[in-house]
Amino acid sequence: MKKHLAACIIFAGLNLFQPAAAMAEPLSDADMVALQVAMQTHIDSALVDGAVLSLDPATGNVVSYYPTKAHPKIMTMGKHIIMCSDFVDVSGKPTMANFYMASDKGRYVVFNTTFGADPALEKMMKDGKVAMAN
Amino acid sequence: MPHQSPEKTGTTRLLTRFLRLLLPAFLFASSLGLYVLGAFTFGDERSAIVTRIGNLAARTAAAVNKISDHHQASQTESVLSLMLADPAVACGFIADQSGKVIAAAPARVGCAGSQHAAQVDIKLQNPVGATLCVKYNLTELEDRGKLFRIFTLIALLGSLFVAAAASWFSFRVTVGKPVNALLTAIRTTNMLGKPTKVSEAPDDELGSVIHAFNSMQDKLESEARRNADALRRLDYIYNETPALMFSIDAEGVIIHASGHWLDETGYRREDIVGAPLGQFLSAAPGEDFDTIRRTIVEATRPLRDIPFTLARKNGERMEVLMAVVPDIEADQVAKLCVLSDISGLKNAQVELRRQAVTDHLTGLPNRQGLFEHLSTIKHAGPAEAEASALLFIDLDNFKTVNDTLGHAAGDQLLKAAAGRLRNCISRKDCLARLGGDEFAIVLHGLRQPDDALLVADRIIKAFVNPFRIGEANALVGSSIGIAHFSEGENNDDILRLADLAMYQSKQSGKNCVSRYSNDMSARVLSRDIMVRKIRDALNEDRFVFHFQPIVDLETMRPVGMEALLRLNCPNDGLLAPYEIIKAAEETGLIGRITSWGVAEGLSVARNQQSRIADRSRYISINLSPKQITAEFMSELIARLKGNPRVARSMVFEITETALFRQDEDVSGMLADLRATGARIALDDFGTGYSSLGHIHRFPVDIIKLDRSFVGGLGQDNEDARRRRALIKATAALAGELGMAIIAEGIEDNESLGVIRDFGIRYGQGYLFSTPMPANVALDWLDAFDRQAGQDGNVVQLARSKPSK
Repeated sequence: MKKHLAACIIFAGLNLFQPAAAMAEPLSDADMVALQVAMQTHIDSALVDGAVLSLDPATGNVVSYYPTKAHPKIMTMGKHIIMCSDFVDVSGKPTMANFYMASDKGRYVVFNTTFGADPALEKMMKDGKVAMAN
Repeated sequence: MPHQSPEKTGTTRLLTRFLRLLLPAFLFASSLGLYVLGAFTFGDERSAIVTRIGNLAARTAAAVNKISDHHQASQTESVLSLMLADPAVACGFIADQSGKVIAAAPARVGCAGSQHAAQVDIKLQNPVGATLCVKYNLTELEDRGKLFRIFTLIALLGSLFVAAAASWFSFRVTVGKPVNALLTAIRTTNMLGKPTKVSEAPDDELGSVIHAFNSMQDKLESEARRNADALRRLDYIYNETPALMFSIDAEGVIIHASGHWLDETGYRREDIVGAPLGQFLSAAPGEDFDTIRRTIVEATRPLRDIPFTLARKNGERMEVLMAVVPDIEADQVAKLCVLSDISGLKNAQVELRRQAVTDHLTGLPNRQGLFEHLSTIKHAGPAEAEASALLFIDLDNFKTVNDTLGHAAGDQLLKAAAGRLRNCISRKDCLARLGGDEFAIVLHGLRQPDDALLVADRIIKAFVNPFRIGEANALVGSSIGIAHFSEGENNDDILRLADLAMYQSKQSGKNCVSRYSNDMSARVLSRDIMVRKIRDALNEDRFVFHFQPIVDLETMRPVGMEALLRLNCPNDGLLAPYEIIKAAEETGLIGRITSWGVAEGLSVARNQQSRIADRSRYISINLSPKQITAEFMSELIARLKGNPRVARSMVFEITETALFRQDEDVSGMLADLRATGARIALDDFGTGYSSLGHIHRFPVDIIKLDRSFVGGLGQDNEDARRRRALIKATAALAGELGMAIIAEGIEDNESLGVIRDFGIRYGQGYLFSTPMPANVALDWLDAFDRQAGQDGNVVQLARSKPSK
């Protein structure tokens, strides 16, 4: 009985304190800065009249999203990185955009951007394929 | 019950243990918590800062890319300087492809002082090939981290202190106070021996403990009260019970005594507590006190009835019996001793013993007392026995006095006789009353056997003078038998031999002394044989009557027949009645003989009415004085009433002794008997103390002059002359009183002539006939009747040997 209790406590403690599926290896400050630079640079490079344009596949409309504040949280998806930033649309309604980034010879490149709900990301988070990097 | 306020007593150790467990845990948990908090907080802070830096650097790069060429230096530096607004940015510069700094912020200084800061490079599009380098550091974060750590340390210490203080206070209030109250109550209970309760109980688990404790104390107090009551009752019972109780320890030392013990003995408690048993008790004679004491001290089970003598304080002694009850308590073995005062019982025993060996009437030793005295002679040795002798004394004629004057007079006579006997002996001799009129004297220190005779002679002389009993004089003699201790084997033997000798004195005419000789035993043996013969005769119906005619001296006709008892013995023939009657009276068989005689006489009278009743004759039967009892007489009277004709042909002869019995209403019974038609004859008149002056009060019809008066009346001597005078007077008075007189023992014509001359009408004796068997007697009557029918003369038979 005592052995089982001790094993549970240890297991709970390990689960409580290890990053495992939910936590990736921590990023250095430089990496985090580089990632932020990369995301902002990508945003700036994609600005059209101060907004990033996005095609709504459901309606076929092109929506303009204006950048507001970058999020500090960084997620990892295997070797790829997912970062977030807040936008507002024309009406001022806030929307969050996810930027999927890959590392290429020391630089980061955004290869996918989603605006608003991201069911794929949610599923991957639920499945444990996405972890917080900081 | 006193309620104790809780004192500030020892929960320090409990508090210390509590704090020793709590504070390290608190410290660890707090530290861990703060660390984790700090890690998460500063992690987020760091992320926010680097996000800000990256954002700023990227925006700055985007802004520099939009600057036109000719304003590039000043505007670029302006744009770069905007970055410095962020405290995390240390400096920034733009370097061309060759690495030359073309713009910097701070202007002209650039990153000179920030070589060690982190740097992020961003490729620019304008100028082409240029790179924006932004150096940053997280000093603010580190500074804040330091502050955080200091703050957290302070907070930790402060909270530790607060926690400790709060814990200490809370502990004291919630645990210390009630626990101290409990401890105080428990210590007070131990100290005072009285259950003490806690006054306040918090509304928590400790309060439940306190309630339970108080409840337990209530029960303890009730039990203590019950125990105290029981102890008080026990103490009361112990001290007030009227029994002599005390307790001893394992060494036999007295440790406690009841109040009653102290009252009875007169001792004070301090006199006896701590004293040994032997200080107040001594063992019974012949017992060893130490042995008994050891038995008591070592007893593991109750003991009873141990005899002791207890000395009171005033020196008086009590005979007691001790009962011992061991009382084993823990390691102490004590005993409860209870004494029962048997002094009264002992005294009663002594008195009983004394009464058992003392004659109540005279105060002399009785038969048992005599035997005990005789034992001392035996144990004293042969020399003492040789010098000792036993006198057996029987008072002559005592029975007559007793019956005549009454038992009270008889008792006075016995006491007076005892006095005369005592005066005849010395102090060393022993006088005892054996019972009735029998006494015994044990003589000691006889120089020679004849000295016993001298004492006996002295006794006989002492009884010469009559005793004055009331207004009467009673003359009794003493028949004495002497036996010497050398002649007998044991006490019974000596007494028996002396008795035999006394019997010899009786046989020899009384008022004399006889010394035992061997032939006396033979004679006694003869009496025992006689008794056996009588019993056998009664069982085998071998008693018979012989009838002697009673004759009318005028007509010489038989007027009646006296039935005289005979015993038909197979080996010895016909036995004389005197020996039969004497032995029968001595052994109590006379009653059966009388009953037989009455039945037989009535039967003859009933069956021979033609010879008896029809001819106006009677059958005369002797009644023993002892038989004249209410029971016997009522039965006889009933039988006579059933046949009046037979009753009228019966005469019952009684002696003077029967007339003067005091224990029965003889006169009344005789009157009732006479009322049936039977007549009463006074037998052996002249041999007792009665006189006509007494007899006239009794229903007597006939007086039978004793033969001792009648025999030899014709002689010419003083005795005969006196007797003739007495007879003459008696005849005259009897005639006046209407009583008939029968003269017994007429054996010669001279006596017959004298009797006739005195006017005595009837006679009986050998002159007329000897006693005859029934059938012979009846034939005699028939022959008389036949001859009387012819010439009326009496038929004289040849004289035979006297049988009465």
